[in-house]
Amino acid sequence: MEQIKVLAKFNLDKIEIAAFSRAGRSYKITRQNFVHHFREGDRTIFIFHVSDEANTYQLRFEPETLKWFLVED
Amino acid sequence: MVMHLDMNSYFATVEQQCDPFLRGKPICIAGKGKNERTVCAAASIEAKKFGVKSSTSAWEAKALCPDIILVPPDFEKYQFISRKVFAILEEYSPTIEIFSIDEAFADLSHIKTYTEAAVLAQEIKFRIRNEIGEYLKCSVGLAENKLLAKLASEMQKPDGLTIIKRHHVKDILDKTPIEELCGIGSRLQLRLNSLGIKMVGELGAYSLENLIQLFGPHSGKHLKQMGQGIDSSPIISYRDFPAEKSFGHSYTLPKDISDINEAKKVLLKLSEKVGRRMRKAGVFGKTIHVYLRFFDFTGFGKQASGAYLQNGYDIYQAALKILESNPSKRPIRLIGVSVSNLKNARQVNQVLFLDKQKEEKALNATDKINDHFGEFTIFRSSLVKIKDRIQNIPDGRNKRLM
Repeated sequence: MEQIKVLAKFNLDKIEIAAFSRAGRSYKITRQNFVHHFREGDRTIFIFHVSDEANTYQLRFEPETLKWFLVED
Repeated sequence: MVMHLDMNSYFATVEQQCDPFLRGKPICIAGKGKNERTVCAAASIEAKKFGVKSSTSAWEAKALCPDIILVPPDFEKYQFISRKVFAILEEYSPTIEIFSIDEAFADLSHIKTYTEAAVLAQEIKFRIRNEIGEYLKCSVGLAENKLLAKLASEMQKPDGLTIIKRHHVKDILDKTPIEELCGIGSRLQLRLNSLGIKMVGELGAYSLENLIQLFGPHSGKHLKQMGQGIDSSPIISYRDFPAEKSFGHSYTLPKDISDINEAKKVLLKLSEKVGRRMRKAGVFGKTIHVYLRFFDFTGFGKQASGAYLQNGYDIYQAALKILESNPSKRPIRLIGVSVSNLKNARQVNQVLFLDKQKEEKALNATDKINDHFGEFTIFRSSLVKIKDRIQNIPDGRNKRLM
């Protein structure tokens, strides 16, 4: 898992991801396909399945630390 | 009136929902990573056209469809979506029965007409697409009982809505092969076929006396009723589900193993998982059952009863004795362990020995750490080498999703 920077809009009860960057390159998100969450110990972890024009990515958001990670691409 | 809702090609469709680049392609949910010997947990609608189905092995799926994409399962995600689907269904019915992770029955006895029920079914289908994921499809069956509602939902896939009304039942059953009826497995099908019974209608017309003679009074009568489309079984809400009678886990190994030490490590990990779930549920168990499946699909299973246990290591030690009594030297394909004969922790005489008390304290501390940071954050050193394997074992029965 790689920590990344994310540009997101907190829209009422939804988080909409606009873009993320890793290794100096930014990726513009065109689709948010699905969001789910699960418990890891006593923490809630959110997983965002998002796509750009070429690929799908899984982004992990940890609300406790406000950190974002790229799970896979 | 009963509704049966069945999510189509469920795990595969969920993955296609999450990754639009998988849509329209043959995919199957199989194992983790590049382990090709696991079986398909689900095949996409596109993969099914090539003959790939649930229980097809991954290598067989590749032989049937060389372009098939193997996607590792994510059971937490599937359970998350199931809970959302069932929560929608529950808004329309006072009682829903979770039949499996992707199927449920809903009691619609408050609905007067099939037309009204069909409108409601369309609304549920729309809400699943709109509120959960636009790629998720389900088939819905409406009928007077669970048996017929399930049969109805199987009749139109994907995205179907089928109603079986009373005056159509006989015609439909006459044209339905018995294996399509829920509860008729492959062995029973063969047995009925050998009696000349191929269609459900033929089962309904078969002599009750003969069925009772062949299958016993209970099963014989039950089969006759199934053949006539009669089913009086109630819809059992997940809220009324009886307490678990056993806790178990099994694991299909990436490669067949002959080395007993390898088998021991897997057995320890499985026992630890079982023990952890039992402690969460606050129960002890006294009967340990170990089962092995060999490379040639033959098996070995044995159980033993002793003291009430809850500690994963104690379960492992009892299970190990059974494992070591396995007379076969055949390579092992699958290992499973379960604990039954359960008792509530308050009813069990707890250990008084000082060293055991220390162990219990250590176990409690371990549980607290794992509760806080997640499963297997802290674990026995003997599991270091296999910690990251056997991670993807879904917990218990899927009927306990909600």
